[in-house]
Amino acid sequence: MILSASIQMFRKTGRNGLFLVVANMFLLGSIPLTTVAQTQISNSLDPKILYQRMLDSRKIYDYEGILTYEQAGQMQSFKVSSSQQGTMLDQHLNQLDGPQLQHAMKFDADCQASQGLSVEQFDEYYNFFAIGKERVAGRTGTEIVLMPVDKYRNGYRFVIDNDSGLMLRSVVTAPDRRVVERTQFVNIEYEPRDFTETEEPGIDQEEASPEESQSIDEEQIDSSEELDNSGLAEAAQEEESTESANMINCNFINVENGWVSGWLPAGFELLQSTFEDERATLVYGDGISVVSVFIEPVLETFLPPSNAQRGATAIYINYLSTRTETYLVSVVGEVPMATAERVFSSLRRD
Amino acid sequence: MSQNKPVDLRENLSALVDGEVSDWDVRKTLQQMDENKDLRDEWATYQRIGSVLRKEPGVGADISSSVMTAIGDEPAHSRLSQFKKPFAQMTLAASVAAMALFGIQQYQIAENGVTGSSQVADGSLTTEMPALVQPPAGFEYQPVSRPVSSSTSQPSLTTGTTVEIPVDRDQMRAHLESLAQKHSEHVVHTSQGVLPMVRVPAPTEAE
Repeated sequence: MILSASIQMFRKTGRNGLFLVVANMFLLGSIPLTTVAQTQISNSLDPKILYQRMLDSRKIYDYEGILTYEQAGQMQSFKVSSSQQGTMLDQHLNQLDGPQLQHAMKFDADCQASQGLSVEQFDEYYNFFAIGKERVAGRTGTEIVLMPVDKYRNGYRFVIDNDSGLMLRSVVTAPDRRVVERTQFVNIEYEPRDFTETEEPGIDQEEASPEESQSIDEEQIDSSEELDNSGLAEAAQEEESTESANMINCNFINVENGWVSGWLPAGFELLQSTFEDERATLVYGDGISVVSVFIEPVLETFLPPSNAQRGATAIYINYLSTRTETYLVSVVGEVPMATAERVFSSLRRD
Repeated sequence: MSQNKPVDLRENLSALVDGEVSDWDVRKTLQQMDENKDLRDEWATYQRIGSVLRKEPGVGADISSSVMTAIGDEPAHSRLSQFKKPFAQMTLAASVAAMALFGIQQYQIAENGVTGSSQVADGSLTTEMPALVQPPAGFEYQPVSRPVSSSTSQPSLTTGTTVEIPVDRDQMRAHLESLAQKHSEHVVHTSQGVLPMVRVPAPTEAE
């Protein structure tokens, strides 16, 4: 109510009126900023509960389907699958148009549980809304909106399947509300995992050291035969695979690499700090958005300072010099480009 | 569903900011914002007002303009200038070396005739990086261009001298694809399911 009244005052009297309103607020005391958030939480469809359900669904269900990915006026389609074997989540992606491409990723199913902020802390940096029912991929879901409270991060809209909690659609919006990316299932099938089965972890999981990433031969982890009614089994065998599964190291690695970012949007915390092959890497996240900072020696081939954008992912490349060295810095993240640029500008030796 | 639908779009927006809308009105308002730029600008105004009320620093300042202003205002002996000096020197050195290896290549944009060039005017060194003739596949791309102040100790170029800076398009593309791949491995820690993999562009072979 107070914010609405302020906006009305602003419309009528402009900046002078706003100044008077703000001044009165300072005199009267702090503004009950939680009022708006509480109103949102008390909605019958609690968006934060729905969001948590979406997080949990990946541990409960195996799924496969076809989705579309749209950005910058271009659309691509993919066949995807996600299945859990033991404690490991195995994801495959097969691009259906353009160049033949398969991605495979394998990681601990609890990977996201302990990184960044908890859902309960989101309402300080995102306002949650439950929009209502939506029908996607022939299924009924509920759409929720995560609106950022500042201009340093993107907004998100998710359609969550009412039955399974799986994400059916994801839309990422820039601070000016412009849609920068849309990912949507057109077909999805899922089944709950049978937790009564005692499954042995995959061979490569036992051998994999938690401190290193490994490439796993496609034949060893070919779980397509284990997936029930998997069309991916055919897709995986149709063409020669261009990608082998990448074992993702989910453990939080913190190695002093001598770099730190002097500025981050509120709520972003350091998730990982590494130094490998002369490249220092810093990873920050607020629980939804992730920013990776790569600092490496200058390449033999000169790359000009550049901005590059692909969907929600912004890439800012520039050079940074100390007294003795010049480094190539690349800031990559699902944040506005201005945020990536500011992170770069604030980098310093620790 | 609300019984009385607000007619004024701004009324919808104001109510949305305050969280005083039904689910239906929220959805409708968001759709209207997608289609109406003026409405999005109004939303941005509300965000700034909210920032004032939350006493956020730097409210109302455009980030890029403030960063540019800070860089421009920095004295020559500042830390920022130290970044720019080696870069300018390196740029010239790299361009000379590259010319020796690849020969001079001029990249021109037919629409405005922009070419890669470094010009000196009034003591300032301006580096205008050439845009790639064709951006890396799957990316919206543009080079960064900003004025760089230099001290008198800088090697000086006479006005009108141009240095073409060749750009290896394949190398840039490979670098961007590598960054996207490595970053996607970090994003698995979040809630976004298969999205990290979907966002990684298909690797393209050098032409």
